[in-house]
Amino acid sequence: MSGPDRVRDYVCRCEEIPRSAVQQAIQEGNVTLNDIKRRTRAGMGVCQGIFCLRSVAEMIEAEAGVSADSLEPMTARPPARLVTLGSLAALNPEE
Amino acid sequence: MSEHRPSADMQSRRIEQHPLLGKLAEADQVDITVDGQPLTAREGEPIAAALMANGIDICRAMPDSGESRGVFCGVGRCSDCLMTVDGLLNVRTCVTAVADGMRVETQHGLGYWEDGQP
Amino acid sequence: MKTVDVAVVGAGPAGIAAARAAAESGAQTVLLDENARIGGQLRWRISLALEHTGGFDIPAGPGPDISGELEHQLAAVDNLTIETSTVAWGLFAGNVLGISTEDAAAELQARSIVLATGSTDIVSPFPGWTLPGVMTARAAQIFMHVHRVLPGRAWVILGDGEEAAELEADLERSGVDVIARCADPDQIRASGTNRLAHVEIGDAVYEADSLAIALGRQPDAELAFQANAAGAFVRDLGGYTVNRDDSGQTSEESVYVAGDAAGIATFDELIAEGRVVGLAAAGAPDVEIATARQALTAAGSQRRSNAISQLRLQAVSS
Repeated sequence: MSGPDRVRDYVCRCEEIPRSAVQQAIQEGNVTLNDIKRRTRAGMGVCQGIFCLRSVAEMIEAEAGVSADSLEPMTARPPARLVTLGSLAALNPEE
Repeated sequence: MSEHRPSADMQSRRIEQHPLLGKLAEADQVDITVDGQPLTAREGEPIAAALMANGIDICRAMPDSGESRGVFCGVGRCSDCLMTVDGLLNVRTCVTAVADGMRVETQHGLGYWEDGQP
Repeated sequence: MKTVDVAVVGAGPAGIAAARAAAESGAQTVLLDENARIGGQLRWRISLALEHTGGFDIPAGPGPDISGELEHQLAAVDNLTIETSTVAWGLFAGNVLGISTEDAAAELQARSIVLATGSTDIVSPFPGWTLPGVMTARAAQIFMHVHRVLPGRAWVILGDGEEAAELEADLERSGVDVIARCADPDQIRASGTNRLAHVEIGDAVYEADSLAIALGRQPDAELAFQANAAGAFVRDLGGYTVNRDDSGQTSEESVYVAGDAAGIATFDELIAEGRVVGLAAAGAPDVEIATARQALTAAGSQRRSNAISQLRLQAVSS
């Protein structure tokens, strides 16, 4: 367990990805949102990046000088909400 | 605004009276357990609201760091209020209503199914 | 698979206006919402609900049952079905929505799909922001106003815009203290053992049990991006925004976006735009859509419409 003053400086809450890991990935030349996602898992969690995509874009802008306005959003894949596999298994594509 | 200050009873965080929304409506009671301890909830409210009203702010411990998490987005989008409910893992407690007899447990890491398998 | 004329995702102000317009012009319309009650942001943004409900003709004043009023109004609309507690989690080729109720998933096909999925709070990471007790402004509003539970008693607010001011007024109405406000995420630091106990702002240290992130809202049109709709990062619209034509249609045929999901809007804009998009999605006569569009221009803010036009021009030139 962590001590009271341990610094918990995450960018991606879901996957517990620290700021330093994202910074390192940018310095290694990953300067798109999908590259950062693949390299660090930031944005790969339950929230689908909705709470970190913007922060990662701003970090890429600050660290690599790539304008956030020019960054493509992360690829969006279903499901947009946490749904149980059991409920999806009941889907019958032939219906 | 001090006349609207909720009761000084620190045990309850229910907002019984609100200057714009009025008095809290009556609701039937629902009995649940949280990590084995009995707790009373209002019928229809989300699990996380029942916990918060009873002073419980921690829902899970994260897989990598073990750090505690509680309600963050309140709308079922983030992963912070996931708990194990009636043996089912990763239940979004901020958007899942309580039910009588429900067993709610703090989720440690990715959680464990009832047979002990991670 | 169930098939309808128009499926509207999200029963907030824009979605309700869109569904109502579509149904009234004769389209078999389904309005979906993941919550148990309709109303969207009107349920938790009580100052908005009390001040700006003219477009919905809801009586202002203390304690309105906004969801109940809206449900009552919509019950009188022909051709309209409302499915609450229903999550739309996927949008697939052929205008097929993946939807789920509590324990069952299904597919729903629609001739036109209107995404009125609203917004998500903008957050910015800072040390300690994962501690229990740190939450979005929206979470604080929902717990206080919808669930009627106080998340905490000693608050710090991160943010200095309209959202921060709105939340501060909400917290005061709930009878709790706002002990500090911080404008800059780079100046704030939260600490505590298992939950929030202290907030540092620059050199000052505050004892606080709650910290709300009130940095504004960003469009949430994830389903449109799943369907490969084109878009871009537009700061004046709040963030990643889908490109649309003047009827709200995206680059994907028959997929429309309305309301905050297409760029953060005022309440009057949400209603007026919902109506335009609902009519277009239903295939209403051009003259009706043109009239609705004039009402949107009258209600619309110059800043939002300029940003939307700019996004459209960029898409044409690229």
